[in-house]
Amino acid sequence: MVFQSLTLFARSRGPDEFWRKRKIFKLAAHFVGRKRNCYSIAIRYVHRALRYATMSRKLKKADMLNLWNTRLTAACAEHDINLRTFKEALMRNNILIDRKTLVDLAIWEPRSFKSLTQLAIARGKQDGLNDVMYVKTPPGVITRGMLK
Amino acid sequence: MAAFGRLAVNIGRTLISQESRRCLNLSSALRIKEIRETRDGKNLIVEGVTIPSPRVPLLVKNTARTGACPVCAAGLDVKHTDVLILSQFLRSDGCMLPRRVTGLCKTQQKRIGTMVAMAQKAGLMPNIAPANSRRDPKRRKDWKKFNTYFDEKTIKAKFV
Amino acid sequence: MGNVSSKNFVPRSRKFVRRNQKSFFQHKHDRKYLTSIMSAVKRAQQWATFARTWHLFDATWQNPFDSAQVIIKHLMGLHKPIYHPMNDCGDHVVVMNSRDIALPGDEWRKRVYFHHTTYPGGASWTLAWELHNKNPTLVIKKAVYNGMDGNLQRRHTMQRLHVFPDDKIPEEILKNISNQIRYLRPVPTRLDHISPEEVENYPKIVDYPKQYILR
Repeated sequence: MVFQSLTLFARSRGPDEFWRKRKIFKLAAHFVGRKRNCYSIAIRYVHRALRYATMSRKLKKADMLNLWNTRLTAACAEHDINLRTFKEALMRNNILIDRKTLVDLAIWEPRSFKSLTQLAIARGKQDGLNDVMYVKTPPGVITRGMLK
Repeated sequence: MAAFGRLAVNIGRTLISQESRRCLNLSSALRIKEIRETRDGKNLIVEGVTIPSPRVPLLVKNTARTGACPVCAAGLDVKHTDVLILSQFLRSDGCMLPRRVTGLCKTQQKRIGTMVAMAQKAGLMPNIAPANSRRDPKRRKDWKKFNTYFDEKTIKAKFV
Repeated sequence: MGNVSSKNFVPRSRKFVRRNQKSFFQHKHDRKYLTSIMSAVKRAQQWATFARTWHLFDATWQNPFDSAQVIIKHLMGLHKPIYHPMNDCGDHVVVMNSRDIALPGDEWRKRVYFHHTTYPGGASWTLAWELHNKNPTLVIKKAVYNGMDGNLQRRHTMQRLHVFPDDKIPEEILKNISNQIRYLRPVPTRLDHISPEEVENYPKIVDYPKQYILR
């Protein structure tokens, strides 16, 4: 851009209008109707979309946590232990696996997950957690607390 | 041989006891006190003998030293579906026995009474009922013919 | 890790799936996979993960509204670790003996079902026992329907619920069933269904007082 005087330079608004608008149109490319073609309408909806995107970065984390909780509740129910007791017993065993990984184990390595639940049940029985006192476990499950 | 036979019949009669030949009963056939007649020579001795109740060998011992009532002492959490327990407090027509007979505390008497009513409404004790009542729940009218259960928490009489 | 070996590294297999192995290879597209590198058994395990299981639920003496919560879980697939709202992993549930459901207290005559024909004066209120008289499957169907969130999936999920008023279930449905959902409340026993010996020999709590005349 060419500026003939300092005043004109101060009045000019950033880069060339075409490139400035193109940035917005790129973000609005997937909108439908005039939202994607008319600049004054597109900019409103792009601003709204960006606002949503900002909010959703937090919401996504909550959604994922919800999903993991739902899946883990189901996975634990298959092995006669509830999620709360399961997590508590894992913590007492010093097994620090997060929910995401536990869900991955439950889906892709069901036998690893089953052994985790058995460890948790054994630990729960040893510590007298009411929920697991009457759950049957195979003999020979040894937890950290038993090796004293 | 004939005398021998007569003797056997006589022994049999005495063994069967005189009661079976009596056509008049002074009290109900089932009773805790039985009236016995024995003939000693010319004297007829009529006596009332307390016979052991059929429940004695099955009785749960009340070991409470505080004088708690049998249900409290047994530490039972009775539900309205426990018909084997509830039926012990009933007359044959389905009425609740009074407190002086059952010997329960006031609260338990009320609770058991309420639970008996619940069990009867749910049709769980159709064989202990007056003859004219609708014994089979399926033959009842309207909403009464459908299964109903009750929550014991709704019983007003309770220990605080 | 414990006594369970994790050497059998296979994709997740459903715990309760017991399907007829023969039926897996019926379809012509399925036969094609048999020649693939992965062994047929393990592939079948993965199919079983996504296969629809059929569950049986006996509604005798069960509260329909409590049972609905359990039935919904199975219908939507919420009992599987592979659950995702957009993953179509729900199972079928067959409810039998819906005529024998039980409601607590006086709910048979206090619970009201509302309907409006959208015409003026078209409102009607039906008591639960009247509805049950008309159609013994509707109380539990409505309990399940109303227990779910109202979204586009709800009516499709309802298609997987099969309710029968008694224990007569069609043969083609019965042959699919491979699991039973545990009851929520025990079925009470009627006193006249217990043998007289057991009633007589049951431990007694109270004795009769002396001089008492039995009636």
